[in-house]
Amino acid sequence: MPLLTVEDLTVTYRHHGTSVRAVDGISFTIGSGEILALVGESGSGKSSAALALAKLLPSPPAEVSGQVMMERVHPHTNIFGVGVNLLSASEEALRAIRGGKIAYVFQDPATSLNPVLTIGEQLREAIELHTGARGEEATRVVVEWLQRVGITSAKERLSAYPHEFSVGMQQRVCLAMAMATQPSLLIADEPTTALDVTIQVQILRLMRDLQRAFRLSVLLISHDLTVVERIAHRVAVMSQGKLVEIGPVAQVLGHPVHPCTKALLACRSAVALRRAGRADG
Amino acid sequence: MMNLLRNRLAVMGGVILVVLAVVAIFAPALSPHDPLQINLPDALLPPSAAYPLGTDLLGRDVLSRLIYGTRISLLIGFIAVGIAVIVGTAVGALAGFYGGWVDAVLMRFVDTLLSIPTIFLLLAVIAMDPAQRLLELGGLPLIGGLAKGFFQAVDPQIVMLMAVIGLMSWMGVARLVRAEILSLKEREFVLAARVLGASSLRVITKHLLPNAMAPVLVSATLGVGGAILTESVLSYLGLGVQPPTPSWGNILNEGRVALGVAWWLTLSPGLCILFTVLAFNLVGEGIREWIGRRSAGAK
Amino acid sequence: MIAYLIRRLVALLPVLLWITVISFGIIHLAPGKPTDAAMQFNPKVSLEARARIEKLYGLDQPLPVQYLNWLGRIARLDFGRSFLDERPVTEKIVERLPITLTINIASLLLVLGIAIPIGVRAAVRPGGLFDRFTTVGVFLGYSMPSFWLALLCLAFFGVTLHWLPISGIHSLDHDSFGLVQRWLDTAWHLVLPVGIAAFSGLAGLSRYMRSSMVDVLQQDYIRTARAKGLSERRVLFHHGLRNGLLPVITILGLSLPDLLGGSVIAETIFSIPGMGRLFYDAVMARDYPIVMALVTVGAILTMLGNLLADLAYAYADPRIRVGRSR
Repeated sequence: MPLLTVEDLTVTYRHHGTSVRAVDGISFTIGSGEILALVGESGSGKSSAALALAKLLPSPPAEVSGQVMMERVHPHTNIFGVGVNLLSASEEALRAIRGGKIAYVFQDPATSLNPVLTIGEQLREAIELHTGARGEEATRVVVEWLQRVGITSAKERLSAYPHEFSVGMQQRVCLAMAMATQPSLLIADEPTTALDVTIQVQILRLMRDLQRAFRLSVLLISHDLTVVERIAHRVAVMSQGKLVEIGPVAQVLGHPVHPCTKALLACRSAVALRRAGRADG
Repeated sequence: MMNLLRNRLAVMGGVILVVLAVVAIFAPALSPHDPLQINLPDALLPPSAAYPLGTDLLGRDVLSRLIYGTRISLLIGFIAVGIAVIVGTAVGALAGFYGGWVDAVLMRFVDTLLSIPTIFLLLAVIAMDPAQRLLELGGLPLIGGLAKGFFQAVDPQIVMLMAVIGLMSWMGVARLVRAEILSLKEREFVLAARVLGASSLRVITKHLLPNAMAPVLVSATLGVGGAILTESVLSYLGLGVQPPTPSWGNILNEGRVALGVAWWLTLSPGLCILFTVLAFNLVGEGIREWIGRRSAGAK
Repeated sequence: MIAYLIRRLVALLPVLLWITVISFGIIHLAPGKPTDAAMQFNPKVSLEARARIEKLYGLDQPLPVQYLNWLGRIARLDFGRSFLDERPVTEKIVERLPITLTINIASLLLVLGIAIPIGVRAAVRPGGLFDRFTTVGVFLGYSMPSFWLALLCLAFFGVTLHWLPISGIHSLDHDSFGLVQRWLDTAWHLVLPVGIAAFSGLAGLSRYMRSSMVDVLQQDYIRTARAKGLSERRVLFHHGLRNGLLPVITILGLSLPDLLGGSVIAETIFSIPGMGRLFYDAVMARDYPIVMALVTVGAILTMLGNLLADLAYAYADPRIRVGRSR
């Protein structure tokens, strides 16, 4: 049984009388422990879809309709519980799920972290809210997770501010912040786009390792197919708000059906060729 | 939704300004009485048919004085801001264009002036009786010509007020212009002009300034309101427009003595100031929004 | 931080110098000698006193020399003596300083206490009813002459209703009161002046607070905070306000000159014996030593205030307080 079932998700933005359909009735599922990549060119609606899942889009301009059924999975035994439709859940219930069951990592780590709070504080906040850990124990969990994502001398770094870290490190901190509450689903919106190519690889590997270790489901948004190839199991292609193709990575990328998929692939090949060219010469 | 509200407010402001202009220009025709006519038996009368807004301590008609006061306020407001814009633009353009030590020295001077509380500076300067100095300097003939149109004799006090208020307000304009010039300096069309051999002065006046003027327009409009407020404070304190020439501020000053009994002497001039300054503020903000929307659309 | 502090202090030196030049220059705007006008207004100044003053100020020496002499003297905090009563200017200023500072600080706190909540509330729902209502209020506040408002309050609360006193800072029988009652009596007298002084700053600050918060609430880290499941309250105050207040600190620093200037009006209307009133009286009586001294002191106080605001900002913003990567 899939962890998340999205049915007919629609997101409409209304502004001064005009309305735009950013997401037009898409449906897909994410299985437990699976990495689903959501790809498409800019403006295809993938970010809006991702934010809509936990109702994170500001309500006056955005209107969301459809169904997002999430099964409750017990972290250790993988026993499935009764599902809940996120889009019709109360604010209270949603707040328990946000950060607790569904965690987000965003594109720009520098602006995603609050500049006036220490990273220790920001991590502890999430942990104290969603787990039972308090005080000393919470600190221990924070340090543990910082170490897990590869931050050295984590204990001393607790009182450091985000601007004291490099961009790659900041993204690791964001990952730690998302993972520390042991969510069932991690939604990563272009997590590597703002990073250097070498760091991109490191972060992707980190995500894959974490995913394997904790049997995490991941919804990975990207416009870059190389990223998708590296870690995703299945891929869904979006274009102009609609879902045009979905299937296992090897199949979709190997034998694309829809012209948009083909266009994306062509893009990637061009980049790869250029890279290869540079390497040679 | 806010845009609709702002739009309506700005239009309201514009309407008020038009009314003010009409009142100022047609003052003699609109005033029921001579504003300078003293009529002691009729002193301190409440509003009536004969005197729609009552009379003051010397029996003069308040309404007529308020109407003529409009001329003073608008005159001082516009010319003071005119002076501020000219001086401020010159200083700001020089600082922004030449940079380096010119910029440093000029901006330190601006910072200094801005640190002195405006009222302190204003009062201190006025206490030194600069009207006398002005007369001595003979700077009067130019500006005096303009003032002559409105009054029988040239009033050095008013000219002095315009100059002093204007010279206290140019700093903000200077900073604005400098910022605009700094950002425009490196743009292609400027570099193109310089490559083609245009002299510095030409570059400044023909290319940089016209583009920098938009925020200055906003600042100037808001500045007229500010100048009118400043003039009213000075007149209230007895250092601005001197009686018998009517100014909203000095009517309030005269009204202070009779505060408990003659409420009309305090209420009406204050409302005049309030609505006039409000009008300029609304129009100024309206222009700011309009400019903002234009440049956002152009992008 | 220390390096920042030192840099700021050094940058202030040229401004300080300019202030002295301007203060000095103003006096010599007057036609004739400074003492001439003083004579006109104060028949009390005798011929001998005038000669003594002229010698004291070295008025017969060339301007640059006079300036340097003056500079030397004010460095020792010697601002000379008042033309009116021959008392040392420094003494007269010092005895009035506490009152003016009290009024200014009290009105500043009042402004902060009202403007910040208003700005935040308006920012949470931009375009909403509260926002529109306060926008209109802000426009009115910007456009209203504060001295007029003072007069109206005086007439209404003081004369008509007799709720609040209309002049001075002490009642007639103040000295017979106990300590607490004396404090309350003074506070009661300060209600109107502080209120009026606060009124002018309210409009600007609440507007600024609003736009700062609107800006902050659009930032990515607010989205992250919400994505973590934090309550809207925590997002707004713990994450939002902490950032939103930073630019407000700078603005506070910039509005200090206006605050001091506002004292002149408030103190004059309500007959409060403070620095502003002293300045006004000195201007009317052409008591130049006091005028010069207060212009200088006023500017220096503003500069100090700015410096404090700068330091507060540097301390509050970790990006400045703690350097780059360790």
